Amino acid sequence: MRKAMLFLTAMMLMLFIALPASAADGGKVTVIHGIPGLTVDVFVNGELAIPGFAPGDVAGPLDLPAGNYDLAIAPEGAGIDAAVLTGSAAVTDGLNASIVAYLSEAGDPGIAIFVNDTSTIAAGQSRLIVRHTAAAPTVDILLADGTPLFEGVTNFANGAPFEGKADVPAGTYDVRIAPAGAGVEAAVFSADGVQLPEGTARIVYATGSLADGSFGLVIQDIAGLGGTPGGVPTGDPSGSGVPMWVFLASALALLTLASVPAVAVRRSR
Amino acid sequence: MSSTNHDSDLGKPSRRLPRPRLWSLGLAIAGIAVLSAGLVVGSSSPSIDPAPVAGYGDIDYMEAEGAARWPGPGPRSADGGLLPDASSLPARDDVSGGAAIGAVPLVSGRLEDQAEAERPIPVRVRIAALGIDAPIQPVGVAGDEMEVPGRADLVGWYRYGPAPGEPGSAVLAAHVAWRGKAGAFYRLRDLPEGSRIEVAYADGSVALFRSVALESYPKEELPVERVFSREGTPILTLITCGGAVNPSLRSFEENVVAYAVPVTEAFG
Repeated sequence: MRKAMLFLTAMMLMLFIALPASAADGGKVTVIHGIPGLTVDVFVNGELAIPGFAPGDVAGPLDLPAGNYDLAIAPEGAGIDAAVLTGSAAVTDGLNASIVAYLSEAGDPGIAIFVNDTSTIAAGQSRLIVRHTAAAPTVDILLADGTPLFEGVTNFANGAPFEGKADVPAGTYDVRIAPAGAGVEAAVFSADGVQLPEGTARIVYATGSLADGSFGLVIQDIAGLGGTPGGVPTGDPSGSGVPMWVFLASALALLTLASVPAVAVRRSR
Repeated sequence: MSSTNHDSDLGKPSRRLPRPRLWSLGLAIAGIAVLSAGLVVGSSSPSIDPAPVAGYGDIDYMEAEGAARWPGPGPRSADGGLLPDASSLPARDDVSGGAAIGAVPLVSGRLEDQAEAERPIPVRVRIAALGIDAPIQPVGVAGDEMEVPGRADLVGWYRYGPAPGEPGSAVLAAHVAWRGKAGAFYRLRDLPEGSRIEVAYADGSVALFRSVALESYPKEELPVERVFSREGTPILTLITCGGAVNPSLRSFEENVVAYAVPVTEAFG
């Protein structure tokens, strides 16, 4: 708590976000509080935008017209003049970004900006994105049975690559986090029954500190990205969606093959 | 079961859309065909939650996309590795946190605070006008298509889309025929406009719908963006297959689609 407070107080920050413009009007910015111990107020252009922003909270998305914005973060209730972080952000059309208050591997607070992949997700899939923003060493993320999901995920402040991303079948997963290369038996964190919703980008931030027990996962969802199935194969016998002529050709081939041994057996008697 | 009724209709001439001529195929070919179809279909379904397979371990990094990259802890300069110069952008002094941004949604993102929203699960569909009374199975996708239950008497509900009555198009699909039996939606092509459709949910409630349109599309022209829409006016969309009049090889290459809208008062 005090460490975070001191560091934040000492810190002046410039945020600068920019992406090529797209057809979208304005950008979307989500703010994630990943530093344990300090509830803050977030000011945009001098106005209180996110009051009572507690560790583990996810605020937004803020729909912002393209332009430059002044940001300030102050301890809750202390007013903008007590800001411990200030900066500016340039928002462009089509931007979808996450601003994360994080800890480095060594435990130093800071601010990270991630640009989010909001491309269409194939029907039936979920997009899992993992971001290591915790005071913790490089890790592997695995399923409970040891199947690796992402290997060598390092605190983003250590330098890229720092984000793991994969589109996987929607469903429920039992997830383990283990020191890199140590195997699932050495897991330091377990989360059973993690839902990965269809058509949603579920962004998982590792936050806090392993050393002081404040380590935890914070989730940001970007829903509504799901694609549509390509068709509805209700026409038995081509129930798999295989074109009819392919099916009939294979049926004829099977018929031919099946008839040969039958004839042979009969003649051998 | 309703399939008995359907079987008795197999030989009747079509009143509206042409019926598929399953029986017009030679008996020998049909028999083998059914066996073969079982092999083909059996390999792709009916698992609802496929086990994670290929792709794990592949990590796509933001770096590969040229996206923003923050170089390290500590204060940043304005050009700290992030992208093109946006200095030409106007200052947005006109946008203040209170007025223009409005209330910002704020939720706990902590994993332990996550809870999946309860949602209605449809369990049965009844269409008295067609003698349909069939159980519903939630389904997902198989390959890149909607999964359809591999049985004649089951109706699949596309569980990644809305439930019937929720905003968007709720899709119920069933085979027109399966392994020589008439499927649950065999008679869908005969659905009169204005028919009453009942959907029963797992919580015991029942929602009423009224059919408003019947369409047939070549499969490649099925308007999937509309059929699987997850937003907009609530629509109940019933889908099966249909085909051309003559028993050609293209017999089942059409989708028969019935559209229905929610009604609040009992009718019919």
